[in-house]
Parts: sequence; structure tokens; C-alpha cells
Amino acid sequence: MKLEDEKIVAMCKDSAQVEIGIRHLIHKYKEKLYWQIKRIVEHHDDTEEVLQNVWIKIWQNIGGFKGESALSTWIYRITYNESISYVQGRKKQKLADWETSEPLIEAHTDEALFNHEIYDKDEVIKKIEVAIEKLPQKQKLIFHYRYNEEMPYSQIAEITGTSEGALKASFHHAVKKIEVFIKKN
Amino acid sequence: MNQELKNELSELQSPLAEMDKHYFANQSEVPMDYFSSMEDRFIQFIKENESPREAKQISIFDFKRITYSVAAVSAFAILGLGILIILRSGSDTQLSENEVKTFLEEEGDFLALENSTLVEPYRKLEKLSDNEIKDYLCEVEGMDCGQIN
Repeated sequence: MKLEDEKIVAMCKDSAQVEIGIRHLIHKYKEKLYWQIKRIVEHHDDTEEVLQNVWIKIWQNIGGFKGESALSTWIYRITYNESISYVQGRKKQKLADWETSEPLIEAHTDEALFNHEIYDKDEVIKKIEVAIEKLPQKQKLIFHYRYNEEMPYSQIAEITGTSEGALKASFHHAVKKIEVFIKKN
Repeated sequence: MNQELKNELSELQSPLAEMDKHYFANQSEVPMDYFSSMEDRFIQFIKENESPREAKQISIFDFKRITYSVAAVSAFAILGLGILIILRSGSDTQLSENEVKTFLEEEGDFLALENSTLVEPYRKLEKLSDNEIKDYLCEVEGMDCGQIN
């Protein structure tokens, strides 16, 4: 655990400083958690709802955090579990179905993504983003952990409960699919 | 991009290996300045919805505990009773005095007959004197009488 994380955890365990500690945690992880959740639940409103649940879980359980894993891994694991539970509850989906399912957002047509007003990026980046959106749900999430967050496979395995070999294979498939999509388009 | 990831992407001959690192995220739907006020909003939300979990109080009169205790005592009592029954049934294999007496009375004749056939020759020998035995051995069996004492 990094020193900064140790300090934050110590604050969160002290009833007089718990609010400051949580504030530090939110500041440090807010964007990372948002994008992680959004990769799973896809809609902004759903993401906001899951994020609220995640922070309540963290608030309730930080006192029992023993430092057996990195604080970030512990937080990402809570986030992953809350997101999956949310999707399963909302869609009445089994986990296996979610892992292989196609993206949920109907508006994710190539045209909608390319023409979105926020996307003032170069063409290649736009194409890659479209290609990522087209990946199956779990592959998309693994790509996010590995490429965006640059997590080692061991940490992703701890968060998702998937073997490192399976994660590596999934990431390689995702990278190949993105490459094929770019070449085709 | 860290070197390990870069090497992995290079091995896959992916164009991502040659690009500058970009955080790929679908930013559609995200309101402007959404992240800037997040700390205040979420702290407020947490305060309104939940308080930190307090240490769990465990009462010795907890109903669940009492149920488990009663179940455990019952299990031990049943087990003990079972063992006692098995031990007692084992002691029944010992014969009472009456049973032994009955057995001897019923089987006595056979034993007496068996004993008589085995013991009779020896009883006859007891009636003979040493000299009679010595004479028998010398005359009938042809043994050297000088060596018999």
C-alpha cells in the first residue's frame, strides 16, 4: 500500500477524520471509478447510481480494511461487484451472459459515435473508440483495465476473479479486433 | 504508457503500440463539469443515506446462539444415550449363573462320557503297584529289568 493510501485509510478509521478521509478517496478515485462503472453499465445515469452505492459501501467498510491487498484493488473490487450486481438486477442477466453479451447502448452505431459533438479528436482515435464500444462487455472492461489503467494482470485477476491466462487471452483478442476494425474502416 | 504494456502491444503488432497513450472513454452523456463537484455531492449523499457501520454488538442472549446451544446439547445427549445402549447390550452377552447351570445340566452327560474315555486308562494305572508295572514291562514289553527302578 502506498504511503498516501495508508494515510487516507488511517483518516477513514478515525471517527473525527472520516469525512476528510472519504473526501480524499473520492478526489483520488472519482474518475477512475466512473469510467470503470460506465464500461459495465454504459449509461451515465446508471453509472451515477452505482457510483453512489460504491461510495456508501466504501464508507461502511473502510473501517474493516486490513491492507491485505492494495487499497486501489479493494476499491476496484467493490466497484466491479456493485456494477455487475446492478447489471444483473437490471437486466435479469446471469454473469456468464453479461460477460459475452454485446454492448447495451442502442445508440452505439458507428455514425452516432463518429458524429458525437464531444468527439473532436483525430480519425484514428475515433475509430478505436468505436471499435472498443463494439467489443463484448467483459472484453471491453478488461481492455479498459489493461490499456487505460495500465493494471498488471495479477491486479485485474484479483478484481474480476478471472485467471491471468484468461485475461491475457481476452486482452489480446480485444487488441486484434480493434486492429481489424481500423483496417476495415 | 508503461514499458511492459508497450512491449506486449508491440509483440501483438498492434498500432496502439506506436500511438501516444490515450485514455479511451466514451464521453457521451457525461455532463460538463460533472467531476468538479463530485466530492461535495457524494459526501452529502452518504450523510443523507447511511452512517458508518458500527461495531457489531453480540449479546449472549442472542436467540440464534441459544438455538445453536440447545441443538448442540441435544446432539450430545442423543449421542451419549446411543453409546450407553450399545454398552449395555454388550454386557448381556455375559452368561448368568443360571444359564451356566442349565448348560452344564444339559451337556453334562456328554462331558462325563468324554472325560471317562480319556481319563479311564490313567485311573487304571493308578491302581497298579510299582512292582506290577515293572513285571509288565519286563515280561510283556521285553525291557531290561535291571535298568528299571
